[in-house]
Formats: sequence, C-alpha cells, structure tokens
Amino acid sequence: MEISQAFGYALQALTDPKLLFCLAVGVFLGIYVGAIPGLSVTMATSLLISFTYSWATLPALAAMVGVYIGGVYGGSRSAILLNIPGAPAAVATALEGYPLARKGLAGQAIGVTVIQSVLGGFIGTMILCLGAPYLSKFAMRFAPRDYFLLAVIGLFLVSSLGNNRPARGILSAALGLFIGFIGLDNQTGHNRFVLGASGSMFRTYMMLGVSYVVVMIGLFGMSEALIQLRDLTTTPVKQKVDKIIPSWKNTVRFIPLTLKSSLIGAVVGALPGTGGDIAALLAYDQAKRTTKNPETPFGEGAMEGLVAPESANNAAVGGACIPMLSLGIPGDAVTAIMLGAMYIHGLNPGPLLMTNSPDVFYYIIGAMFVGNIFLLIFGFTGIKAFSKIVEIPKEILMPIIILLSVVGAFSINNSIMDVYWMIAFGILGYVMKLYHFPVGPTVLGIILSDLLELNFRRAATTVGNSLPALLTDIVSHPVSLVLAVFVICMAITSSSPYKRWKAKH
Amino acid sequence: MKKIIAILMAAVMVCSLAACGSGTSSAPTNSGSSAAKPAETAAYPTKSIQGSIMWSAGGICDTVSRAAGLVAQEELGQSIVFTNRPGSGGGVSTAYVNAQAADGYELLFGAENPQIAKVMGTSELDYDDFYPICLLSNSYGGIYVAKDSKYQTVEDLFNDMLANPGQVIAATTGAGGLPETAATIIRSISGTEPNMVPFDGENECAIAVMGGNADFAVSTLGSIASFYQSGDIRILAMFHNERLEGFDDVPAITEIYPEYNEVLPWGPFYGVFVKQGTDQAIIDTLTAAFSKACEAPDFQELVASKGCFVMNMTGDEAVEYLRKYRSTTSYMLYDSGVATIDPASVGIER
Repeated sequence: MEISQAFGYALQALTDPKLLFCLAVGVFLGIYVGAIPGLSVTMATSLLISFTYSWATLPALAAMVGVYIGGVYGGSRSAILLNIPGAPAAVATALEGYPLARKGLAGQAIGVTVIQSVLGGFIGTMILCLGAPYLSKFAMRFAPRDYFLLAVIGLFLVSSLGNNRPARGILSAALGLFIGFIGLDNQTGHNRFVLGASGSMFRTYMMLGVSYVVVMIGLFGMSEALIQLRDLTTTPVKQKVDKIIPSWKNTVRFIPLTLKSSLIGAVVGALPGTGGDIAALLAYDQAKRTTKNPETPFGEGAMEGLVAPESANNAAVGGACIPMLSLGIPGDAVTAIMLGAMYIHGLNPGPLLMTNSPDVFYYIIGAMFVGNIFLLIFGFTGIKAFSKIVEIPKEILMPIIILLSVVGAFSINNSIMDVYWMIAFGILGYVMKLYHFPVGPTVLGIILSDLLELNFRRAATTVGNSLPALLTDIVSHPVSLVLAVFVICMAITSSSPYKRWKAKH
Repeated sequence: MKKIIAILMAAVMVCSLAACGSGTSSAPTNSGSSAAKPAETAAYPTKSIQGSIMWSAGGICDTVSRAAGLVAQEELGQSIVFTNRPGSGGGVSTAYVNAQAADGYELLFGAENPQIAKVMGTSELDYDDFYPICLLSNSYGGIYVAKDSKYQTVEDLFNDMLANPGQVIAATTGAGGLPETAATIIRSISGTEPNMVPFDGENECAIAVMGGNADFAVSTLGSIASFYQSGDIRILAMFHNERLEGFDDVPAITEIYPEYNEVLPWGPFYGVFVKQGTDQAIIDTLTAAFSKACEAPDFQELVASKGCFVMNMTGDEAVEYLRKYRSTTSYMLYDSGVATIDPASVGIER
C-alpha cells in the first residue's frame, strides 16, 4: 500500500461533499443527543443503523463516526450546566464543571471542554494512525490479571470522587459494587440477589442486572432535581457568555496535561474490556494527584479537572477504533455496533480489513480527523442558548429535568422497569446527598464491578485457583508488575501516615 | 407555596409518565398504539418490533440476526429494534421474551444453546416454549490455537492435555455456550482435562488465544474465520465429520479420532422465534418476511463469508429439526457424562 494512495482514501473524507455532509450532520446530532442524559451514543448509533443500512458503505460509516465523536463530547454539556452527566464518561466533568456554572462561568467551561475534546480527539486519531499495530498487540496480550489490577487502580478513584469524609466515599463505592453484582452470574449461570416470582417481569429484569446508566440518571439527574427543589429562594446565577473561546495562552498552558490525559484515554480505550468512562475517570484522578497548585482547588471548578477527562474520553474514541479496525474486535459498545454495520454492508472487518478494503480503513481515519474539525465548529454553537438553561427558574427547570430523567431511563431499553429503578435511585441519591454521601463513587463502583470480579476470577482460574501462583504470575509479567507497583504506590500515598509525613516535610 | 407547587408538578409529571408506560409492556414507539389495538391481528405490524439477541454485539449470532432483521423489516414495513440480552447461555433472553406478551412484537433471536439448557440445568426454558419463525443458518466448530503455538496438530494438543491435566487453558464462554460444551465433549471422549476459563464471548476467546492468555478454544467457524484467513490463528481440526469448503487444509477431527463419529455432526444454528401462543396470522407474516431475508443475496454472501450455511427452514420442518436436535444433543451429552440431568426426567424423548 502506497502512502499516497492511503492518503487519497483518507482525503475522501474532505473532498467528497456527500460524505462531508453525512459526517457534519452526524457530529451535530451527536452533540445534542449526547447532551441529553440517558440518550446515549450507543443508542444513537444503533438507531442510525436501522436507516443507514440501505445507503452506500462510506456515507453510513461517515454518519456513524460523526455521531460517535459528537456524542462523546456532548455528554459534558449537561454535566456542566445541570450537574447531570449526559453519559457515564462525563461524570468527572460534572465535578468541576458544575461549580463553574454556579459561579456564572458555564460558557467558559463549555469552551474549554470543546477545545480539549477536539485536541483529545486529534491525539487519539494520531495514535490510531501511527500506533495501531503496536497497541492492538499490547491490548491483545493484556491478561485478565492486568484488567483486574486496572480495576483496583480504579477503586482508588474513590478518594478523588468523594468529599472530605473518606469513610462515606468508600461506603458509596461499596454500594455501587454491590449493585453491580446483582443479576445472573454469566460464568456459572447462578442468580445473585435476584428477587421476585419465577417468570415475572421483575425477576427477569433483575437477572439482567441493573443498568449503570439507569443508576447514573437516578443518582445524578433525579436526585439533583429533588435537592434543588428544597431551596427555591436562591436566584439563578447570571451566566457570563462573552468569553467562550478559551485564550491561546490558557490552552497552551494545559498542553502537557492534555497529552498525558489523551494517552491514558487512547490506551484505556484500546483495551477491549474498558472504554471512555473509565479512561475519563482515570485521567481526572491523575490530574488531581499530579497538579501541584491549581488556580482553583479541585472540586470548586479547577480547569485541570475539565481538561483531563474531556481530552481523555475523546482520545478513547481513537483508541477504541484500534481493535475494531485492526482485529475486527470492538473496543467499546459503540464500536461493537459499528462492526455490526460493517458486516451488514458486506465488509469483513478483521485483521484483513486493511488489505481487503483499504478505502474503508483509511476513510474512517480521515473521517475522524475531519469529524473533530466539525466538532470544533459545532461545539461552539448553542452555548449561549444552553447557558440560559441555568437561568430558568428552578420551579420550571427541575420538573423538566425529572421528565428528562424519566424519558432517558425509559429509552435505554424501552423498559418501564428502568424508570421505576431510576426513580428509586433518585430518592436514594437525594437521601445520600442530604447526609453528605457522595454519589460519584456509587457509579464508579458499578462501572468497575464486572471488570474487577470477572477478571479476578479468570486470573485465579488460569493459575489453578492458587494465590501464591497468582502473585508469581503478577510479578513475572512486566505489564502486571508495573500495574501492581502503581496499586501499591496509590495505596501508600492515600494512607494517613503518609499524608501526615508529607504534611511535616 | 412555590415550593409545594413545584414538588407537586414534578410528582404529577413522573406519575403520568409512569402510567403511560405501564399500559403496554413493550414500547409504544408509534403514537396511537391504543387505538390500533382492536385491529392488531388484522394489520400486523402496526408499530416497531423488539428483537432480543441472546449473545453479545459483534458475535456471530448478533451478526446473522441483525443482517436478517434488516431485510425482514423492509418486508414487514416496520423497523425491528435490536437489544443484546446475553447471559446464561441464552437463558436471559429466553426468560425475557417469555415474560412478554405473545403478540408478535417481541422476537427472540437465538442460537442452539437453549436446546441443551434443560439437561445442563442452565434454564427451565427451551425452544419448546417458543415457535420457530425461521431457522436462518447453521455452522460448525473448529479447534484452534494461536499462530505461534507449540501445538502443530490436534494430537499434540490432546497428548499435552493428557500428560498435564488441568494445565492447558481452554477459553470458553461459560456454562451452556458452544466452546464449553464442545470442550466437555472432548473431555469425555478423549479423557483430556483442560483448565476452562470463561470469557465474555467467542470474540474475547479469540483475543485470549491470540494474546497468549489461553492455549486453545473450540469456537464457531463464524467467529474465527477472519483470523484463520489472516493467519493469526491455526485451526487444528474441524469439530465435524468432514472437511469444509474454504478450510480445505483443515482435517476433520474424525480423520484422526474416528470415535468422534458417534457424536458428530454437531454444531450451532441461528434462528428467530416468537413466544408460543402467538396468533397464526402473525406467525405467517413473520415467516414470509424472514424466509425472504434468507433468499437475499446480501444475506447469503454474509453467511458464507462467516463460514456458515443458509438454512431457511420454517414451519413443521423447523419444529421437527429443533426436536431432533434437542433429543440427539441432550442424549449425547447425557450418555457421555457431560450432562448430569437425565433427559427423560425433563420430558425429552430419545
């Protein structure tokens, strides 16, 4: 394959007006679908398939890549404005973005997330372009024990997502893990904590487990609305929307953090078992740990806390495409649907895609570059209108949020049972917030529960269920060893003796 | 006062929405579903149809189901909305569809797995509880290793397993899945003791084998054909009694171990089902649509590229096929000691 020819295929993304149009519409729709809690990118792409299948291959893929890129960004908007993440990948964004909105800086916060999403997207695509063969090999060799260690690192995020009462954060996370364990155990076929009469709808629902998106909408959306309704006397903050586009200086200042976060995003995204949500949380955590003197403390609207998750989750898009394009294996739920679409269009995604259909392979890479340019353009649309949402009186806005939460929960699986669970978690979240239990760790616990448990069991089974053998296994593999050292370091730095020692020196 | 009004407003909105939804168990995606109710059987379908796929997205069952669904929805004039409901070797999906109304708006897209659920004890439901709209395609299994594996032939692999019981890692998809069932059949016939590690799906099994995290796996040809073509894996033997087109250099396991003739041919199939008790007129409409899908050139090409064969089996023929499949497979598993539940005790005749 000549480089010029490959470049030619990629350039189609820019030169073919029809493809350009499909891509643009995709990005635009993606942003606004992503901004609504509960309407996920996964759902948008699967709906898209049902009417793009009669199209030619490339326009269909253009629309899908567009929705993917736009949707991953869009989740941050509602996170900033309403403290309700549009998607799990935006949970970390809400932690810093919402305090900014309360200071009247929502416009500025959205501006930063656009720039960082675009930068992350570009870096992710670059990594896909240059590092796909190496990263896909790395991802393939990533063993169950490594996924387990990654999940353990994820558990330490509790200290970042929680408040100044660590015990409550840990309790919240434990609750999340417990919720994650509900349902049918896939490896043995046994039911865990499944209630209800045999054959009833309730039981069938519990067998499938509670969707973490339902929990997220309840804990963040519904409960936030309930909390806000307690105090209607506060007047909404007037939003300053004159300086939306972040200054050049401010963007350059964060470049090292952007690069670091994007790298985390791309690598975590490339692993078939993990996606943008875990990438964003890990990036936020490392930003919080490594930033020495943030202008604004974390939790009160630190820009670093927006930069890290936003660049990471968009870089994860490029990462997730690595196993999809080089192995025909999905990197996350959206790429799984895109793979299905490729089959339907008569392509045979797999290790031979690059040889058999180089036009498709390079077009997708080209489309991701151009899609990010569209994101830069459309990302700055509607900010003024969106920021006004925060200025709507609470007695009107909050019921609308509850309504949206109900619609969002229902639309995941068209199941009314999801709505009941969402409402239940909304009330739980309200009580948790009243008693200062952070809700972020609960969502974290659910996201991590499968990764943690299934991979621990796999790792243990692999070595014949012997703990010494598992430890030997970890020490004797470089990747596992590095991850294990990380775990130990995080454990030490999170401990109180270390913190006391640090405070003295 | 303001506060009370706001809370009331919120409560009313939630209640009204909840009430809308609970009227019908499936999604009223089209407006006016209540008005259409009396005419439902006369003019089926009047709203979008839900499809539950019993394996995860991107796998072979998923691919075949979605491809057939796309042609069929054109014929039906209503879209089919797919949801993957994997788990318990298909038991989650059968339980889900069985809990819905038998009105033709909830389709089950499944593989062979429920037909062994009763003897393996993974679920109380099998295809007796459903009516086959159309059996779409079938395939066979292959025993494969990574390209740089030390095993050159299937004898190498089996001999190593016999010499080192519990040491050779087999990737499976958990109880009730094809890789585990096939590996268990091999264990009972050849006496091999693999260490079975369950992964999420056949795709994940392939990654584990290629990445060196598992030594071998038995999978549907559909999920490994592309890795075979690219040379990333080597298929040591077909889990079948003859060689297959497109895999000419791969020997059938019966060429090396003739004792496998007793249980083979055996392999997966993929089909679409509705709950028993669905109106015959609805069944006929659906059957015509999916039968048409099987004849579509796009579908046939896709199925062939995945190492599968088009079946297009409907009506009594399909019911008879399912009955026979369940009987032979259940007794094969029971006689060989793989299944511990006596098929006769759960009403399966030999």
